[in-house]
Amino acid sequence: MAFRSRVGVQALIQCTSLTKKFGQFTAVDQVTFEVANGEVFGLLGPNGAGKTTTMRLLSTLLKPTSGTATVAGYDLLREPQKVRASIGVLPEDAGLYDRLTPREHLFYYGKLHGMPEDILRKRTDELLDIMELGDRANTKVGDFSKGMKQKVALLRAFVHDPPVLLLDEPTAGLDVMSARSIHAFVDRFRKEGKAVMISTHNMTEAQKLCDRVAIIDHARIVAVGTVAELEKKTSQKDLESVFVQLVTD
Amino acid sequence: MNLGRIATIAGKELKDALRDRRTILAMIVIPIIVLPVLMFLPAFLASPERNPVRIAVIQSDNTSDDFLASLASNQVQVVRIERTENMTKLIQNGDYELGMVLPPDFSQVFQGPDQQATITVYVDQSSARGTIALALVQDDITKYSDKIVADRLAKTGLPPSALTPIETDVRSVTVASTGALFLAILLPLFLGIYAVTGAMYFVMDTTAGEKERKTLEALLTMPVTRTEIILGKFLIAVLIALLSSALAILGMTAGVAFFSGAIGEASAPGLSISAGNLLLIGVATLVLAMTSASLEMMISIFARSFKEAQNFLSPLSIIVVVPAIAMQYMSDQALRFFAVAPIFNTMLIIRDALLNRVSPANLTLELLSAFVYMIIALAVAIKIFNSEKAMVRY
Repeated sequence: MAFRSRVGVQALIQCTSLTKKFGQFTAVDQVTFEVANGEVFGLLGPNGAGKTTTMRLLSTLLKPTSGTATVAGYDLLREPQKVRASIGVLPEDAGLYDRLTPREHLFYYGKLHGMPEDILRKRTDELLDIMELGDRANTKVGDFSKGMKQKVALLRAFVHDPPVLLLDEPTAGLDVMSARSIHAFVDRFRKEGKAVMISTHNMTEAQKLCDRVAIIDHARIVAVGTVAELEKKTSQKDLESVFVQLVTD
Repeated sequence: MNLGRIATIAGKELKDALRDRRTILAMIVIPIIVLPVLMFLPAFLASPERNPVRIAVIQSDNTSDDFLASLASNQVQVVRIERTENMTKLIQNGDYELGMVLPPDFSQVFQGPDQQATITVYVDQSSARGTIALALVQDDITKYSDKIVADRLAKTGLPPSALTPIETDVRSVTVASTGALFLAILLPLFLGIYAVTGAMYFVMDTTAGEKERKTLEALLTMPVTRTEIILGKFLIAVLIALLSSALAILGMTAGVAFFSGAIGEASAPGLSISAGNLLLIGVATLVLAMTSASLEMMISIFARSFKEAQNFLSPLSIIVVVPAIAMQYMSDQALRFFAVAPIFNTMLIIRDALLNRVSPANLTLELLSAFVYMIIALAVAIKIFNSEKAMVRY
């Protein structure tokens, strides 16, 4: 629809030695990984490990101190506008305008993505119906529950149908029903061939959703692979045990 | 830079601001209702025409009846009280604004050229109504006294002019009317204050507030440049500052008209401004609004929260009053040195336009410097918006 990835790109996200320092503090250290089309990739780590900073680097909110990454084939440093056009971001906090309605949100962000109004109108109605927000489409989001706000924020992330989605703690603090509908969307994204990167510290969610995971600790990636590969490598029975072993090592 | 995206951002900001009761309160209710009422209501309420001052009088005998009759007017209500009453207490309690004790045998003052009577007056001069009452009463006493003097002079065959061998004949050379002078002081002050502070709330909300509510983070991930974001917000900040300046002037004018009579001469400003001068005032206010919006944005984007932004910005609202007040006490020659000083330059343009004494040389200097400050402020604000340190400070 609005923006596509560069032709012929295999790995929609490709990080090479991505590093971010805040003064003396290294928040992300030499991080290297790839996320392919139709892959859901989990970034797992304890609080403060560097998950959110990695997400912010990939969404061009922060500039890397060294190393680089391409998103949908575009370079973070040289083509930040194109990177932003090809990603959909769900930040840690929904970050919605309390005095605007879900419809106004989608319309606003869609327009910023350069979508023509007639297409945007159709797309907005369609998305609000899928998320079962149709009857609340014209209510200001200030009155919404956390789950409903998160749904609107997720719709905002893909109103322009981007090839890459960056979801930071997408289900944190949500009830089971809300979390399930978010999970359903992640499945749908995978089927549509998008690259989805999820940061989480919810092991069950990671095990259920992710094709591959990277475990990040103290700013560095300590392991990458499918859940089965990591279990085999560490001789553990589940992802939580894998995580505990790798992070405390 | 994409104008369409700037317009999209500006449109959203305007919609959001107009839905915020606090913006409406700061932009409309305060300048057109609260401010004029606060400014003019005290004078209105204290006005003796609306509400006559009450004077308690203790007469020693009826020889002062004639004098008392000369006191009573629509502004003064005279109440005779008993000799036994405690005058000091009555005034302190606020039962009366002024107390007067008239001596016995008052009419003797008409009898001989050397007769004198003393009226004792009780008044609380710390109260506005007390001061008004005293002025009214003293005025009446002087008039009554003048009558006696004229009478005495007539008896000696001297004309009243014998008492004033030298008269002063003041010829005013002021170009503008007194009303215009009054407005020349107030208008630059109000336009200045509102151009600087009118959009302050909006600016804090749309920068530090957005950061605090984490909406800025989502906005920064859109394919929009940071320059486009600041320009969209800037446009609405300037619009709000201009609207509140205009409404403040409207409110003040309406206040003067509504409460007229209560504040004397100022109620009839009789000010006429040419279209050219009006345009000049508009341009000066616009440039000041643009400069302060840039300044406020660059400062408040460093704040983590709305509260922190408030702490950073509140000194600005005090700083703007300084030139307005200083201008009243400075000679035109001294002010010439301030033609290139920020805020001073704008206020001078507005004042000179109001008094219809714009000089092209001064105007060029004032306007040019104002533009330079505005461009510098906006450029710095754009630069700061493009810096990671300011935008993503958590």
